[in-house]
Amino acid sequence: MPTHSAPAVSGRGVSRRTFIAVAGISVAGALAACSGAPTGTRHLRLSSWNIPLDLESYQLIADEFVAAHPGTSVAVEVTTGQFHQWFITRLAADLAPDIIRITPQQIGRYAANGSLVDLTGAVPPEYEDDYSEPFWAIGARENGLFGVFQHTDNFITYYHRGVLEEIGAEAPSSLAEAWHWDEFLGIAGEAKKLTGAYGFGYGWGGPETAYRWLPIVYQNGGAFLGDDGETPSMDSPEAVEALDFGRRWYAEGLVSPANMSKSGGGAVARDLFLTGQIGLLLDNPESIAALDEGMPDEWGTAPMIRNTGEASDLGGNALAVTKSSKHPELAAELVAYITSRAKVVEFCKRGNWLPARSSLDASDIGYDRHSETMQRFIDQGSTIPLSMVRAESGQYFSSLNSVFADYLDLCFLGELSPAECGTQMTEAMRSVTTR
Amino acid sequence: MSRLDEPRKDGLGRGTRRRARWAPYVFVGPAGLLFLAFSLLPIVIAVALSFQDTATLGDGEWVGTANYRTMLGDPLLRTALLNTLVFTIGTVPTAMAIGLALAVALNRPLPGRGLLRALFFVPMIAAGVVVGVIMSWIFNPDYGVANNALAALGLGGLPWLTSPSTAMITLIGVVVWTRIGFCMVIYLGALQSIPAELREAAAIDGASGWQRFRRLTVPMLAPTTSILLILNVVFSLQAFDVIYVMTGGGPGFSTTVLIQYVFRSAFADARMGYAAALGLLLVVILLVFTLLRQRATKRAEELL
Amino acid sequence: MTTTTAQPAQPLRERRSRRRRWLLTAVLTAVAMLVVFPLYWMVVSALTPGGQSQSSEFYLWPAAPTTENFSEVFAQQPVWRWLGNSFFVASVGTALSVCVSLGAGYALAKFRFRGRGLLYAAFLVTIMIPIQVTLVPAFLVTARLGLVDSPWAVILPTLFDVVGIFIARQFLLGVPDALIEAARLDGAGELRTFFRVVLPTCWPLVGVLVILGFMNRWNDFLWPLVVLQGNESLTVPVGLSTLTNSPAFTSPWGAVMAVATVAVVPLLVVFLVFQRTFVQGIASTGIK
Repeated sequence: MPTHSAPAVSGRGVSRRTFIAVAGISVAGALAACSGAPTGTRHLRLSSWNIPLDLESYQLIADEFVAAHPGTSVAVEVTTGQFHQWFITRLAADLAPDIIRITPQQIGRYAANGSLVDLTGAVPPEYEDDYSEPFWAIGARENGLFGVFQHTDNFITYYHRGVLEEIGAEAPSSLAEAWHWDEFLGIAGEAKKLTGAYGFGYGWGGPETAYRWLPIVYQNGGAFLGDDGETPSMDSPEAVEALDFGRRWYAEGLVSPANMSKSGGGAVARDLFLTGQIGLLLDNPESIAALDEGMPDEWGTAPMIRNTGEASDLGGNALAVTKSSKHPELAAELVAYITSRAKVVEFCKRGNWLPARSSLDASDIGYDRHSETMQRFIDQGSTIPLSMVRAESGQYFSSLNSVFADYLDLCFLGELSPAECGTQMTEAMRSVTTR
Repeated sequence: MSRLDEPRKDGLGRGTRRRARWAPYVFVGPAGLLFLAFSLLPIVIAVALSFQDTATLGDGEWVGTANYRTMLGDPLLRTALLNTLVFTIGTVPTAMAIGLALAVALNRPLPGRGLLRALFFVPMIAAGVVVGVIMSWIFNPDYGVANNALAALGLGGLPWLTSPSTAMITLIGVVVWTRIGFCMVIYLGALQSIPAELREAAAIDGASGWQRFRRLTVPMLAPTTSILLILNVVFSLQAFDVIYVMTGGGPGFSTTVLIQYVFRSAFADARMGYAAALGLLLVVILLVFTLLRQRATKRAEELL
Repeated sequence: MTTTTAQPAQPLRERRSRRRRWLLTAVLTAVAMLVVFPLYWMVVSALTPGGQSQSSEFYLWPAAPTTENFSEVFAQQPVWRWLGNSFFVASVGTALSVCVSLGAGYALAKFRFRGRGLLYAAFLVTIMIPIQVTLVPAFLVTARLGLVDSPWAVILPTLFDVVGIFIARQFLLGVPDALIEAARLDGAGELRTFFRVVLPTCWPLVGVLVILGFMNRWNDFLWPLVVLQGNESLTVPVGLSTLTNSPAFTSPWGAVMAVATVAVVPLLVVFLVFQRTFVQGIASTGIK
């Protein structure tokens, strides 16, 4: 059976031919009807998630870019829910936006199948020096640079001050002192007694975010895919041990069964934390605003938990140029501009994001609030392992992520033992990677 | 489908001869053109896709019946089909029965029945996405209003969506909730076209309420039931938004239905060809069901 | 009709039946409350200040209701534009689609022509095709026609409405042929016959088609999601989807509930106003 693995660089030509063969529609001149830009002006469209402050930042930065490039214009648009459905459909008709803000977990397929444009020529070579290897690897592949990581986002531990005080535990302040798994579960057990409900929560955000649990696997020295970045390895003893650790969260009632990757209803763990039903929360910086509003001064932060190894979630977004772009060079130039050091500072300050560039710390950004906490997040970013980045930004990841979500559920619910789960998940993953 | 369906003997034949040849084509033309462009053509392309191995459209290779053969050995498809069966059997008769009961009740001269009818129809107004969002909020086991209310009554909470054994039941309940208004309105419409004299005649004959319902109302409603059944099965097989938002097909595979799997294959897995084949399987299931249903109706009519 | 022996029983039976009627009304009212509750709860959640809505306390009305969630989301997102777009797409789409459905229904009900059966069967089969499968091909067709990114990309491809055609055909089958024959004998042409004689009998049908069509278009999600672009051009359900259901961020839940409420309330008003017409219309369309 043929596989998808051959990069479809020639996709455009073939796609059109097949389309004609199938549909019998003449293509001549049809594309011309689709471009709405006034003649002479080179128009770019940038699509971002619908986060008002970010849309504002993009527009401001784009306006500066336009001012420096006469005869251009840039529109900032929003990406709807159901990303893949929207993006695949748009790409098929060559109507995707020029520039797309895309997560590391989403980028792999499009980089591999020829949907994104190689940015190598447009992005100054010194950019790479200001990125850690894992963060650069999100966009860089063997055959080119298909995206530049703009900002990151990862997990640390939030705790309820009162709860921790009553337990008599001291929150670790540096990465070196981070709570190890057993220590953490011990504290979570105490917290459960105090809250009367659960101990802690994990910051999943809906069915597509199962991957946020992968750091736990890497914290134990396990890996999602082997060293070649392709061979599923969730059946290794380390991975199975991690699954066993996860099973304990639910078997011991430390985490609410409603707090699993697939369950809907918004940020479940955050809501549990805000209502005092859990004492600890593993989550990203997005919670800060809500905690400031709901329980100001009652919360503190500590590094992400760890075991034999360290790891944290790979959040954040890259910017990429799509093959639909009529002006790929110009679009690539804009991507380089937005990801320049000065603009990353501007963007992260307004939107409270973490910079992806290594040379930036919290004081460079000048966050309005919680500079110390933001610095903790930035430091935590260095624990994200390269092999996890490679796995998550690989070409099969969105499929593998659904498989991961399915089997994680089965393990956490106790339908499968951790060992069975590891074996069956690996097998299901293999059927994806060898498809 | 209806007694009006039968050819009329009162002059249509004579009229047709005299009528302009072009007329029907003018009237059906707009619909026909739209159908060609936006329904038939996409469907033809989808059928072609189902014989290809392709991530989106166009860059695929022709693989013959490989996608269909893959289906045979796909364990997830088997689970999805089974769940689809449970979901359909759970939703369709329930929604129709409740809709019929409400229609019969609200067909009587009750005080405030206009308002009551409107209230029962209200759930149908909300889009699937909105329903999913509200319901996952209500059925959150830790702070949802459903369990809070149970707790206020001194009862323990239920794992509405968090256990594989209950999630499907909750989903069925939610979908039935969205559907009863529609079934009720259609049944109400049909009930109002049953001549009052018939019912009065039955009452004079001394038939009890239940007997009248069984012997008179149910048979008179049979054509409506038949249409509602097919529409409801179509709705159930295509119910996507609510499930996607509420459970994402989980916990585990417990609420992964066929349409969920079609979506997943097409967009999460980027196997457009396989997804097209799965989608056509769904169509075949629906067609077979419809034809069987029609045959059953015909046979029943013959027996009568 | 009544015999003398039944005479004294009559008031008793009447009283009993009246009591039964009130009992039935009470039961139905209770069930109706339960049925409406989820939507009521949506409104309550939208009126509840941030933290309180997640509490594990049971309440039916927030202690301190606030419109803060609404003012916030209206300030941050172009919700009025979303509403305007939904209204435009739904009303223009419904108006045109009703015309298409009436024409097709009339042809299928009142004419015999070559391919009629096949055409009708083909129409009916299309409701069985899941949109997930035809989404990409349909988008390609729409794109080749140069429609994408305009409201017409939502309106045109959804004008063909099988359920509408089905209902129209059912209704028009019931229009007496004698009426049409009479018009023709008077020398009226085909179009004149349709507009002057057939159409005036169709108002209940039009009412039903308008309500169903408007509702479906207002709530339509997947198709507008792919063909519309730009925050200012979205419809309400698509706008809502940009706030939920993204792996990259989570929106404040109050905002989501506020937009959900805004999406439902206009339809609710329309339906409450027209419900009587609607039910009577359904009755007269003869869906059976």
